Amino acid sequence: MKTQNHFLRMILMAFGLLLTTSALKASGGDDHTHAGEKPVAEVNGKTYFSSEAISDKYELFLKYQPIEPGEEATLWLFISEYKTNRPLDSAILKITSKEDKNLKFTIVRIDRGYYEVKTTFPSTKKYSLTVTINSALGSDLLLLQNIEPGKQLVALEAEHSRSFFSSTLFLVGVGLVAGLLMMFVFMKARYRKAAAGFLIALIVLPTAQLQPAWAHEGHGDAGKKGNNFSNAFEVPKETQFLFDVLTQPVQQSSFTESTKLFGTVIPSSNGQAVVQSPQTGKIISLSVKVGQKVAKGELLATIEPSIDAGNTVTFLSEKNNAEAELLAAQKDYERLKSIEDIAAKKDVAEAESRYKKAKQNKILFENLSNSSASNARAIVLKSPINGVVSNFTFAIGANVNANETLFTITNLSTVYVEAQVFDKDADKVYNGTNFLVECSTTDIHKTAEVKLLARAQSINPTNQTQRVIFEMENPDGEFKIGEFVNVRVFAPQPIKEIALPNSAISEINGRPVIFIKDNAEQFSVSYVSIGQNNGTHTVIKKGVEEPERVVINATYQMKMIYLNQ
Amino acid sequence: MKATIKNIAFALFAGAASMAITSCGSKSSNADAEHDHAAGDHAHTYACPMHADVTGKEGETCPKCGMKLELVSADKAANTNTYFMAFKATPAVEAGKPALLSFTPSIKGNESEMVPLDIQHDKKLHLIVVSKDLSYFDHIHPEFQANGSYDINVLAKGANYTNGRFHNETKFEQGGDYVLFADYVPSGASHQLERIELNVSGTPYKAQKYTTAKTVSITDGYEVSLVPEGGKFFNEGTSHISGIIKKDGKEISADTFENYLAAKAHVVVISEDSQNYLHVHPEVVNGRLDLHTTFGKPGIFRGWMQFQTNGQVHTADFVIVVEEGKAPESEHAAATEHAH
Repeated sequence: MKTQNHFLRMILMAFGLLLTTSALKASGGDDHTHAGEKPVAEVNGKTYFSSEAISDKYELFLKYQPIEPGEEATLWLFISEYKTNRPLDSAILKITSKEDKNLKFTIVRIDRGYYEVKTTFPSTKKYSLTVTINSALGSDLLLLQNIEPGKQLVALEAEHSRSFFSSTLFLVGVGLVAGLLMMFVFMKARYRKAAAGFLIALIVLPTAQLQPAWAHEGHGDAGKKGNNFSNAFEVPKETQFLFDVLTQPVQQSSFTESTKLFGTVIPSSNGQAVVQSPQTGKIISLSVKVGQKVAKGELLATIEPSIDAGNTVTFLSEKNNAEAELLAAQKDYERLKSIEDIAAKKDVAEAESRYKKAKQNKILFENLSNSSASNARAIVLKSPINGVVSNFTFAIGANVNANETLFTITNLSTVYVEAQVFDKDADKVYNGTNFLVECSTTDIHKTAEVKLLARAQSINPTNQTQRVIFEMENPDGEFKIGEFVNVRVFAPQPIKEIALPNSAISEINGRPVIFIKDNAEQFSVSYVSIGQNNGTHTVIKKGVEEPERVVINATYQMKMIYLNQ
Repeated sequence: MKATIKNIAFALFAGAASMAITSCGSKSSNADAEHDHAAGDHAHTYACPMHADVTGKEGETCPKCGMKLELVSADKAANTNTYFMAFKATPAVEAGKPALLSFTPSIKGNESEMVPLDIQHDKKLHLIVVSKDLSYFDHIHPEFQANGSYDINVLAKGANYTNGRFHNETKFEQGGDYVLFADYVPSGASHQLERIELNVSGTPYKAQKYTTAKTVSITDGYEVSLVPEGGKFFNEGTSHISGIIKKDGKEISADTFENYLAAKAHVVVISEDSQNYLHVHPEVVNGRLDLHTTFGKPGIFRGWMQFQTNGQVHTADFVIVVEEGKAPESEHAAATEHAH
């Protein structure tokens, strides 16, 4: 009796345990339904039927929910250009079905490349739609196959139920209950041997039934499951049109190899001039402003040389000497003049010239010492070249020293670019025919063609580079002295390679990838090994083949969809 | 004590039962995979995409053209339609005069039905035009028109091709008998080949007779040699032929060719009586073209190899003398089979 009570307790406990588990499951009920839908999206990726057809011009994609035979069905037809994936507009469509010539199709344009097709399929059999397209791209005839009215999205429901029944927790629960029941019956039974046989049969029989049921369902999914482990992902056609996902067929094409050099803009040999003060003085006039364009020979400033005390004394004594000399010369000349008849003619002439010289000297000194006429001593500074006056900081009245640089005149119409070339690139540079300078920021907003001016004569001992000079016409002064630039050296002969626009390449886990359009809604990620980048295109060495279609627009969105799948 | 033992036994049994059921579940999923695999081997047929009569197992290649056998869908296998290519020339083709050739793929007994075609080698319809004596060759692609036919323009003598030769136009500069081979795949059906005879009025061409082999052909500066394994061409078994390309006396790799109609090269082989037609797409192995084909009968065959460099299509022509006998087993093929 006691044991029986014990058993009852045990059974109650076991049921209690089972109830808790089912309660847990029930509480996660919402979760469960979500989980039930989620595998649908993951495993099949689709909650609709589809059919697609391609030609060299068009890609047709037909989407539809399960169709009830005899009822009006709405199907969605997406038409895009096969090569570019651009939605096709203003196409004239005609749809017929070879299985039923009487089928009427109403086609309504919803958006670019997006059409609503309405028809009533009378019976449950496979239909195929023959689509005639006429558009600017040309005429075409395509066949959309395997449209099955009456077919339900069974695969999805099977997946749903299977995920429930095959869950380990459920099986453990079933096993536990079965075990408990069997043990209970076994303990109560009188003919234990017979009961044991019955029990074994009980265990074996249900498994025999379960096995084929699962195997059957598994069969249908086997192919699709593989996609989960590959790099494939689905992008609905609507999304493709919305994000403007454009493709380009991969094609080997001429790719002009280019080498990138780092360079700095420097002034050309005649492109920069400095104006220095010839002697110490004071700026007394300034004729130009910073940034002003000046012509060669144009006045820049005037300097009045300053004279120190020693010089002043010398000057004054010289002046006195000149005055004394004038007086002496005058007297001598007047005396000789008075005795002109008897005096030697030569002496008179000498005295006269001495007097005139002294008089001139006197005038000179008078001029010099006369402050009002001090301009005569001023030094005029003129621009030696055509150009633009660079920044200067002095003002009128400032004192300047001898050999001090006052002005820098720069002419940007021709500048040089000095580039450091590593030995391995030297041949490419010297054999290159085209050189292009671009600013070194990621946003390339200015470029200019340059020509090779001077080859290197020596190698920089610190980094073993050669200093090569390019000459660049810079009429608008876009490039400034000291600017860091890139110099692209283009090979004379283009090479045949697969090159894709830079917009096609993005990065996942730090590795370059491209997105390949496999089917109407299926894309796959391909890790590529990239080569040269010539600024607009990049060579793809590995990872893509002709004539796959590669996404060249909305790559970022594709990456996000792939990462979030 | 007894109760405890019973309790333990009880729990153990319950546990064992649950494990048994769980393991059954996992076993069944293994069984799936095996079942699936087995189904793949037996239920599906693999056939050559170009020669529907050639069937085999997955991974095998067609002895006629060397292409990999592809899975034939149930629908395709169930398709019993007989296709033919309706041909019309307007006006009747006259040497040196313009005309329009129209081809309409149709179904026997249901001629009003429009037959969409699948793309194969970049085009929906490949048309090989040869003179009956096999001295003239052209490979062109009629294009679909709104009226449902695939048309190609015949240009007048002296007119210039808009896109160069071998594209969307042809010419018949001399009269005489010509044979057209229309090569196409209707959607949902297997590959089709239609042989059409065409008589061009006007002064007929002077028929040529080919008797000696020509296995080296020079075209646009390229020297192309066909070298059969064992040195001779035989009618039985798969012949393995190497295509060696030289330029300026130096051998160059066929990898440098541009893709022309989705292949590095196209080889068309037609028997002297213009009844046997082979279209082979060689693969590139170690820089050489690797052709696999079965001639089927001994005699004289004419061959044309087309390839593209720098946007220009080159055509090399050959005369192949096929002898009675069996082609030797390929060492290359044998080696790969051993590896498997």
